[in-house]
Amino acid sequence: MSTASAVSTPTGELEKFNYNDGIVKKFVVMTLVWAAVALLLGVLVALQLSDWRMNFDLPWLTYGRLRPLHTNAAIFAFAGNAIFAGIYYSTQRLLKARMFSDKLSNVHFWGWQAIIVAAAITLPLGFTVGKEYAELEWPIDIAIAGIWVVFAINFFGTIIKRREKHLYVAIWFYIATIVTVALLHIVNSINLPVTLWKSYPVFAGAQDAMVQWWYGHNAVAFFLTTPFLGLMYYYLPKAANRPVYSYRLSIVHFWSLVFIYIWAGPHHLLYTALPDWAQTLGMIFSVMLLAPSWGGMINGLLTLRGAWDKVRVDPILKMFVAALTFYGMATFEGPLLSIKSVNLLGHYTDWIIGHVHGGTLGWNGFMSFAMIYWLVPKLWRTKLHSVQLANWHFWTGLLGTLTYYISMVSAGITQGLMLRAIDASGRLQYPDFIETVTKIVPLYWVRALAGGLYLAGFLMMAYNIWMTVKTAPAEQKDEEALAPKLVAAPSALTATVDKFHRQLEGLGGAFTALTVVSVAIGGAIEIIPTWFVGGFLQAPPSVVPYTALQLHGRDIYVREGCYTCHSQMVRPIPAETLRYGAYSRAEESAYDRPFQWGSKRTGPDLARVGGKYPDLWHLRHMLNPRDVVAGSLMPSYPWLFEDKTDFQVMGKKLAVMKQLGVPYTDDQVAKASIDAQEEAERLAAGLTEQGAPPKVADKEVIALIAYLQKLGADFKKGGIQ
Amino acid sequence: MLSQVASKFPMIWLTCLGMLIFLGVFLGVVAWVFRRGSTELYQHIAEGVLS
Repeated sequence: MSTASAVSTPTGELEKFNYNDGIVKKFVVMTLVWAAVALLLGVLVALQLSDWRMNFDLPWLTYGRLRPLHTNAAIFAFAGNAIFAGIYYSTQRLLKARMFSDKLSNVHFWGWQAIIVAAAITLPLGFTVGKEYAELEWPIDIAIAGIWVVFAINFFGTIIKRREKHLYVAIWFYIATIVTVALLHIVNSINLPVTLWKSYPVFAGAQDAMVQWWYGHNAVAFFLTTPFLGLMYYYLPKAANRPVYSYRLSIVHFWSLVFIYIWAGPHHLLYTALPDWAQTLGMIFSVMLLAPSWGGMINGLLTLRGAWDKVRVDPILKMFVAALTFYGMATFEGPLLSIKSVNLLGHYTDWIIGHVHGGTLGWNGFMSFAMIYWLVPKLWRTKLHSVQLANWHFWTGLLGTLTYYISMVSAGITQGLMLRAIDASGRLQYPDFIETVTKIVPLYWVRALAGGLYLAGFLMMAYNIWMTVKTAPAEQKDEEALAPKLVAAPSALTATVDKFHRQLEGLGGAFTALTVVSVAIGGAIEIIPTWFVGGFLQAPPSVVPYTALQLHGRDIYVREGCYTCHSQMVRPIPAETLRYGAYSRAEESAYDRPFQWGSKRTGPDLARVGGKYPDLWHLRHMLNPRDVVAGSLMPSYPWLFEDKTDFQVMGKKLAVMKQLGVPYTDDQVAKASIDAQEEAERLAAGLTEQGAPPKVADKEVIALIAYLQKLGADFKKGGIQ
Repeated sequence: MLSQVASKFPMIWLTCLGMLIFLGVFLGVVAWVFRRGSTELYQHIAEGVLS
């Protein structure tokens, strides 16, 4: 019921209404369901990195396809549902109004679950754009935008019909989340479709990298940080029964964070072919980000002043404290890793994986768990089944998170140091990349164990919540509330402050506009200059567009998620130029849609792999990597030797690329299929001469080899400065 | 020393501009939250969440 009735009291007319708790319950339940999926997937991919046999030689179970599913499940399914549960509950109470529309709430809920299911089906099938945390293909991207708009209408509609004049700071964080996520998602997902499940981004190379990490970094900022800070400002005071330490600090925290975060994206691309000015900008603003982040953490921890005795016995407060501490750790480590010299060691290694999981398991995980433990007994009008079990969950989860973090930072620093070790004669001390991987495999097993511990803790929670809900009264009603109409809202106390100030902090529209301006300034300064730098859009004649077969092979590379383990970016430092060859130039990626510079090297960089090995080496490597690289962790790809290449779609692919500015002639587009078949026949004939089995020309592995042999080939031919 | 460091940062003016804009935002917000009468208002709001 969303109708309200009036009640006369001695203090004036109060409206009686009820909150929509049903929608909160639904999001809480799905948070738990998707958390189980995300954590199980996390443990599975951790095991796959420890032992390649855990890939089971099945395409839809391979690491390259499951890793994006794990990250999407953790961020958008688990954290996403937790955010929505927390926002729907707190927004109604803070604004003293039922959500704007029950129908929109339900559309939002079911639409979001449908999107997650679509992701869970398409990602293992290999339908991916190939950009981290933005892998989903264009029909799902459109659905995300649509459902987000539904959420926004419902949220802002509630602000309009609210009964509380002042917008509490948690609501500001929610506003920032809603508008910025919409902006990031739309800009980064502008793709041109080829088929229903295949599209190419409109941005290419360095520009695509810039837009992607502007999105990627701020997905962390505005999906995993600002909404959780909003939740912290509501649920922590509630759980501790103490007002926030400093409301003033929360306002300074909000504006500083929202303004600075958006500038920091390029720290994901330090020492790459991104322009230096953008790297510097990203580094400096990342370091500055420490101040507002710690402002929020300190404000949260000091909210518990005088209540620390409760922390000893209350698992909910323990989880809040752990979450804030991990937030503090992650936001100290983030700026540290953004300093170029530190980044040089940590980037592409497991240190980043440790950093990320410190944030997600520690901050987002414990925040969500604390909120759910607090919410469930209130929503279902009962008591928590077992406080002791919740305490066990806390300690198991904490041990899991710390073990995960320590193992990955150790692995990252070990590998980083080995990769850049140069002996007295100026040669690489560990010339074989695999040496640096086998060294850290024991730590990969420790990581899998740590993930298992965290999962075990979560299962205790799932059981505890299940038992709690089971004991709830059969009849469940939405909570009722009484509040005066908005026109009658100003109290005697707030009326002492001048009207202008009171009004401004209560203007939802003005705050939304100011938030958009804050995030737009940094975003525009980073992205717009790259649109006007010709070098990133127009490649020199020496950079030749991919042939139809190579382009198709590249799409297979993207489909298999090769970018989750291999980079294509040689940084301009001796250890990398000695290992891989000349450093990468921006123009080499001019036709790359999506860019594939990568963010992690479980395997070596591939920017210069073209011509390094014969075709037969690649063929054997794809069939069983251990045949050519002893100790390799890479999965085998037997299906590439069975699945046939779709030559017919190649004309369409070239036509779309031409539309995006790649200089293909009409003749090349028209003959794409025939040219590709001829190229495949030539390549297969050469392989047969080297001893490979005959009749492989129409198999996908041939297209992939054609692509791999093209990597760095233009540079080796000369003409690129 | 300073000039050597600066020479490594092309388009340093852009970073400076960004920092200046931020400084303006930051000082503006600090001035705003310490405006006259804000103490009582913020105390009222912070405590209101608990009810």
